[in-house]
Amino acid sequence: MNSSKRSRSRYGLRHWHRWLGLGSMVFLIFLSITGIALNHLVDLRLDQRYVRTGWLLSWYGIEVPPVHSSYAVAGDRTTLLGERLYFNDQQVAEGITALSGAIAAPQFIVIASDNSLILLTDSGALVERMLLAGQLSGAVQAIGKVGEAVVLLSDEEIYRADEQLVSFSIASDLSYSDVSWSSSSNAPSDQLEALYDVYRGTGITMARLLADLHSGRLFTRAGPIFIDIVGLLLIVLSVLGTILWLRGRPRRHRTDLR
Amino acid sequence: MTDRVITWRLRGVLPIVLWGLASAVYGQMGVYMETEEFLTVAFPDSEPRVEVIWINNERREALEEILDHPVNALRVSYWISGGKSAWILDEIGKDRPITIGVVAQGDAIEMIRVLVFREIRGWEVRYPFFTDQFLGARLIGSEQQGVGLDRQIDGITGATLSVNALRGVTEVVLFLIQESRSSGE
Repeated sequence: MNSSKRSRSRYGLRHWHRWLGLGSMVFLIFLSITGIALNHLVDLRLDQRYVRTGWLLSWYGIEVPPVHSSYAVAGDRTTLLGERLYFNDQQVAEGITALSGAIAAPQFIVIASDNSLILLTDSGALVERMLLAGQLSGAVQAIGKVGEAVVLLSDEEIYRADEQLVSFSIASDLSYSDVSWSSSSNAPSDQLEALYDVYRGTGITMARLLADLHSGRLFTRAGPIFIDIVGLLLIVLSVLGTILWLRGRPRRHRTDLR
Repeated sequence: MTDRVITWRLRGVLPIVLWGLASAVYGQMGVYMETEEFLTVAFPDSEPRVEVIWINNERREALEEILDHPVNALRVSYWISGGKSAWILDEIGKDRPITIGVVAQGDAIEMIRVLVFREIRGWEVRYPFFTDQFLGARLIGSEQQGVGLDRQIDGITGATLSVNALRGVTEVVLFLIQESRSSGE
């Protein structure tokens, strides 16, 4: 290869190296920043922080499920949204499939699901989710009060709880009309909107968002392919850079021959 | 066979393969055992009564050390008959709670079952090859120095968080049994 051909070839390589380098620079910076952040997920508590931006959550397809039922209790409100149970706007339980009512007892606020009681303090702190297996003849259909006593309706039988809300026995002395039963009501629209925000706000962690950005998964199926192409570009750049560096080294042995 | 025929055949098979893969993963999520069935297995010959143990500050600190996260509950109820007790507790695996049933005879584990699994990964912890490791396990150590099981529990690759959840709940149950015995609750 004569010197003009070699010079043209080197110029061509430098030209490609320059433009490929400039083109991939933005993505390299982007991948580096997201990579560093991913490396420090726990330190930055990104696994405990949630995405709250509306359009991003919509992009992920996070939609709020319909309200199953909602009950007013002592100036507060409990609502079952999907399988998440909320006391006002605070999630108190998960995996609840049906809500039967809520009452304010002397010691606790008592929320009844079909197979458990969720006991809360007046301020909404969780005391216990108490499973009722073995205590009733079927699922809880309703919860109510007679005086200070908590009663449950299950399989057409009325059960009375003991003072500590630990065990239940059939209350044969009570009829349905003796009990003040909890009844559902529609949640006010402003409370419902606040609840929707909370629901959507605990769907995607910042860690997940970062991982999806880093891998390109956020940008549909083409995203990972694009990130692969950027990766390949970086490999090409490295090889081109090495070739240019080797070709650009001073040829000392020729000088020595002269 | 022409390429076109192969392509068409693949188009027919691909959705079935994808459906199979999806159901293999999501099919593992769900209710494995109802609470009533668990109690029947735990107490085949007797009717257990329900008792509760209150979580005071000292107990909370110990439980938080075992589980490595804040504990909110103020009391835990369980079923007991004779020297045998059954406990059902929820513990987060990665994102969602796993409902775990534990039966103890005295202060040793007699049975452990995953009742409800809601995560996408890690369902292997429900299999006896894993849960059988806990049989007979007791608690060692003290509240001050930290407590742990008297044996090594082998993990499962890809199910570390679910393994930790089961190990944690087992230690919590044994700790609460120890506490209820010492306080007479």
